[in-house]
Amino acid sequence: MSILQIVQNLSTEVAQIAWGLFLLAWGVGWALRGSPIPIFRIKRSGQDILEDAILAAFFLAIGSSVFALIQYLASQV
Amino acid sequence: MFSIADLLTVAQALSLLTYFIGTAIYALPIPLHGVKKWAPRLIADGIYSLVLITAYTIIVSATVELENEISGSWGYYEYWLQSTITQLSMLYQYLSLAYAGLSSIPYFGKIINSIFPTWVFFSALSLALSYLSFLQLLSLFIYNDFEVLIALGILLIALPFRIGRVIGASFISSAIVFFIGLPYLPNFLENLGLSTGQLFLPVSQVSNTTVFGLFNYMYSYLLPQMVAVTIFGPLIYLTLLASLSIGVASLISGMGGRLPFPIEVP
Repeated sequence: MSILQIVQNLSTEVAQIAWGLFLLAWGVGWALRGSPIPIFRIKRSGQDILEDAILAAFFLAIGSSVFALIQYLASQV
Repeated sequence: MFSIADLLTVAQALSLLTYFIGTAIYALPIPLHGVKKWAPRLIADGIYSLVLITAYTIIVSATVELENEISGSWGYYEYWLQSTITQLSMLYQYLSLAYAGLSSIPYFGKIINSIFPTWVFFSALSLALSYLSFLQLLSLFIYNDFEVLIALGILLIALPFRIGRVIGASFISSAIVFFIGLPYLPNFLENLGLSTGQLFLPVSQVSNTTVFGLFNYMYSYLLPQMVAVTIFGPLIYLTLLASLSIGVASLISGMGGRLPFPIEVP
């Protein structure tokens, strides 16, 4: 197995792990935010986790598109 | 053996990996700022190294173009180095022959040595020769491998978590700066008034004077001039190029820079 294949497999795995983490963070975030605990800091941290998870999903979703776009733009220069 | 295309392909895979590690850290359900601050950094690093990879051809062709515009040809520079080395080694041979002949005269060698320490001259000459040979080696390395150096630098920058960012940027910047700057060395010395042509011209003018006059000329003119032209001049110039390339490296990496090879007198 070449170095290139190792790195490519690794990045596929990391992307899958990232999707899994997103689902987990989505669940944990909503659970904390909607929990019936009158402590504002815990609810706030749930909100933060949700915001980060949404950003992560956004970057994951556009990742391949961004790379393709940059390569297209650079090949046009 | 890796080719440049292989290096760039691996670098591209690595930049994708860096990007995905960044998104995975973003998605971590842990509200720790110290961990989370790496996420946007890694995403930006992945995009930055991808931009560098796609700009590789532009970087190389712009470097070659700038070199043509600013410094003149590498061919002339190689010729200048080779001819200076040849002149110095011929001088070394002539002087050692002449010294052997003179010191075979009884007591003359001792008298000469007590007035003019000949070993100073010979060691300065061999130091100059070795420094110029080192310069020739460095120039050959830069000339043949500057594209590989740039590709390797991009690969190092593409590694995740900024492991090779500083040294990768130093590879790129030193390859660019030295490839453009080294062929300008003869002109630089010329502008300082340190041309190699002046070094050997007056030998014919003093050769018909006495032996002591010749030695006087060797120690009061030839030795300082030779050291200035072959050691101090190039060393000053290489130091200038080194500081310039460290500056460009910190521009590329955003973190700092260093020089990946030595330039001092070995």
